[in-house]
Amino acid sequence: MNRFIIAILLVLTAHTGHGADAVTVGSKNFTESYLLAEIAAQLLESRGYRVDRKPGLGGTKICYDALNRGEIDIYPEYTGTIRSAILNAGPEADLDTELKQIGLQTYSPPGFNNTYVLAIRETVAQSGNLTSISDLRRADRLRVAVSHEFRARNDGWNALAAHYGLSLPVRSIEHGLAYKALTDSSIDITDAYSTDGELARANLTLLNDDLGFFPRYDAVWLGRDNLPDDVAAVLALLEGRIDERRMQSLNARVVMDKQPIASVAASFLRETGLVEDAGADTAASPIIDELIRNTLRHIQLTLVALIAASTIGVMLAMVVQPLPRASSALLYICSLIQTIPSIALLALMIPLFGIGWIPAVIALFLYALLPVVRATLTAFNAIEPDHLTVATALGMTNSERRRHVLVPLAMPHIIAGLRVAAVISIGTATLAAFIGAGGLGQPIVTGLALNDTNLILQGALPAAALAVVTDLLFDLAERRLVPAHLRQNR
Amino acid sequence: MIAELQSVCVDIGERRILHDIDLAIPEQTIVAAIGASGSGKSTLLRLLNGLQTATSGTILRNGQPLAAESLRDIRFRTGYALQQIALLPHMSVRSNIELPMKIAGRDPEAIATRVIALSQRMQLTESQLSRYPSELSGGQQQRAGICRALALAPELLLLDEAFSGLDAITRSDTHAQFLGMRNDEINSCLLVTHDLAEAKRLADYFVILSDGRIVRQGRKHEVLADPQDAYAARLIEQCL
Repeated sequence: MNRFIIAILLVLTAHTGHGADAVTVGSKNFTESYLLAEIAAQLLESRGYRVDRKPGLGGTKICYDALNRGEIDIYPEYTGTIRSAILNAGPEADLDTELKQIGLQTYSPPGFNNTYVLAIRETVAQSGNLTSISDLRRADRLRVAVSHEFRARNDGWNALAAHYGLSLPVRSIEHGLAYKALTDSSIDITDAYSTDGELARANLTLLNDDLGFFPRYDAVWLGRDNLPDDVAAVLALLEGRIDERRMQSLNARVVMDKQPIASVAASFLRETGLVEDAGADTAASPIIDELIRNTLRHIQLTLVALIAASTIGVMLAMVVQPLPRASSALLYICSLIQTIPSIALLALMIPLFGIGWIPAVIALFLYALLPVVRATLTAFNAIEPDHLTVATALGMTNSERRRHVLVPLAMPHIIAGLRVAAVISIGTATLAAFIGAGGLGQPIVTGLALNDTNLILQGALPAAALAVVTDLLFDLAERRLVPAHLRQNR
Repeated sequence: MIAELQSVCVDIGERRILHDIDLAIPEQTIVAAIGASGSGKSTLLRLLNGLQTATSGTILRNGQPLAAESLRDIRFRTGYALQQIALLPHMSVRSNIELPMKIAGRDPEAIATRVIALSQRMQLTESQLSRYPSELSGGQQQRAGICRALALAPELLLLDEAFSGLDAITRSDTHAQFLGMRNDEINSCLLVTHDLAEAKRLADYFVILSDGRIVRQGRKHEVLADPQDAYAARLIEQCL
C-alpha cells in the first residue's frame, strides 16, 4: 500500500515545472505561431538556454492567462490582437504604455504584418468580378465561413460586416480546415492571415480592404516586462529578419510540403546564419519516442484524474447514500458538470489553475465523477436489506460490515462505473492539449492546426487503442474480482 | 433464563407493533411464536438480538439487561436465520458458514473443523460448500443458512420462518435434520412460524400472537388441549 501511495505521488509530481533558468516559450495552435515559437526556442537553445516548449495553446485568452500566471515567458502575438483582444483598446491607444500598466511588454518585432484578409476562390471572384471587400455587398449567394476566433472577436466578422454594410450569412469553421473547404468548393470565402502559406499556392484571390477596416497585425514577442535582458537580446537577433513573403514561404513548407516544424525552423536559422549548425541535434525526435512520451503523459493525466475521482466519488457517494435528498443533489451537481462542454470546462479552469497539467487533471476528475458517483449510489441502493440485517445480526461492527458485505457487494457496480469513467477520461484527455497539458491530444491539436491527417492519426489511433486496452483490462479485472453471477457487463 | 421479555412494548412510528409482552425462554427449550403475518412475531424475535429496540419494558439475556456495550457479544451467542436465507451472494457457501467464526476471531483450524462437523450434520457435500449460494437449491441454501446460524454454537437460536418457502418433502427432511441436532447443537431456540403443524413438530412451548398481543402461551400440550382464547382455538382447529 505504501509503495502504491509513493508511486502515485511520483506520478503526481513528475510534471513539476522547469528550473529557474529555463525559458518557457508558448504558442497558439496555428502554423505560424508554432513556427515562430520553434524558431525562438531553437535560437535560445543555440545560445545555451534551456527551453520549455508549450506549443498549441488554444487561443489568445489561454496564452494571455498563461503569461500572467508565469507559466510561459513569451509567445508570438500580433499588435492588432493585443490591442483588441487583450487591451480592449481603440486604434489611438499606445500599446507600450497600456501594456506596461498590466506588467506586459512586447519584444523585437520579427518584421511582418500578418493582418486578416478575406480570401475568395479565384473562379468565384472572376465570375462575380469581385476584387474588394466592398464588392461583397452585391454578392448575396456566397458561402462565408470564418474561423471561430474571427467570428467572436470585437474586430472580427461582425465589425467588418457593419463597416462594409454586408449582410451575408456566415458560419464558423476551424481555420486549419478552411483551405480544404475552399479547394473542395464547399465554401467560397474565409478569413485568412496575409502570411498563410496556402495563399501563395492555392487558387485564391485576396479581397482588397478598400475601406481600411483591418488594423495592423505586426508580429511581436509578448512577454512580461521582467524578461531577462539577455533573453530579450537573443530575441532581438530575429528583429526584421522575417517579412511577409518569407513568412508565407516558411508557412507553406509546413502546410503544403508537410515538412516538420522543427526542421523548417532549423533551416530558416541556418539560411539566415543565426545558427550555423541548426537542426543538427534537433532532427525531429523519432515518431516512436514522441508516441511513447505522449501516451505516457496521457496515461498519467487520466490515471491521476481517475484515482482522484474514484476515491472522492466513492467516499462522497457513501456519505450521502443514506440521505435520499443529498444523494439526488450530488447526482444533480455531477450531471450538471457533465453538461459543460469539455473545451469550455477546460477554459474555465484557466483563471483558477492556470494552464498545463493541473487544470487538465481537475477537469478530467470532474468529468469522471458522475459515472463513479452514480455507480456507487446504485450499488449501495441495490444491496438487499436482508444481507445488511444478517451482517448486523452476526455482530459485525460498521467497518466489518463495510469490508465483508457492503464493499464486495457494491464492487461490481463500482467497477462498471470506473470502466465508463476511464474510457470517457481517455477520450476527453485528448482535449487537454488545448491548455498545454500534452498527451495524445498534442498531435491531434497540432494536426488540426496544420491540416495534417497523419499527425491527427498519431494522436487519435493510440488514444482509441488506449481506450480499448483500458476497457479490456477492466474486463479482465472484473473476471478476476467479481464472481460470474454478480458481473454487470455479461 | 436464556432470554426474558418483561412488559415490552414496541412502537414503529405512530403504530404500536407489540403490546405488553411477557415471555421467558428457558434453557433447552424450543419456543414457537405462531401467528398470522403482521401479528408482530418477527419483531418479537428481533428484540432478542437487538435488531429491534423496545419502546418500553425490559429485555434480559441471562438475567442481564440488553445493553449497547454487550450487543456484539450477545450477537455472537445468538444464531439468526431467516426465510430469505440471506446467504451473502459474493461468497462461497463455505465462506458464508465461516463468516461468523471469522468475525468472532476463532482460529482457522477450529473454523475448518467446525465447518466440516456442521455441514455433515446438515448433509451438505464438499462440492456444495465450494459453490456460490445461487448455485444451490432452496433446501440446500436453507440448510447452509442454519449451519451459519449454528456456527458459533449459540445459546439461543432465532429462526424467522427459516423453513418456509420449501416444498413439503424438502421441508420435512430439513425438520428431521433440525430435530436430529436437538440434543447437542441446539440449546434454546425461538422459532417464528405461521404454520402450526411446523410448530407442533418442532417446539416444546407455544406463544400465540394476534395483533401484537400474546393471546395464549404455555407448554405445547397444554395449549393444544386448552386454547383458552378464541383466536388460538381457531388456529388449532384449522390444523386438525
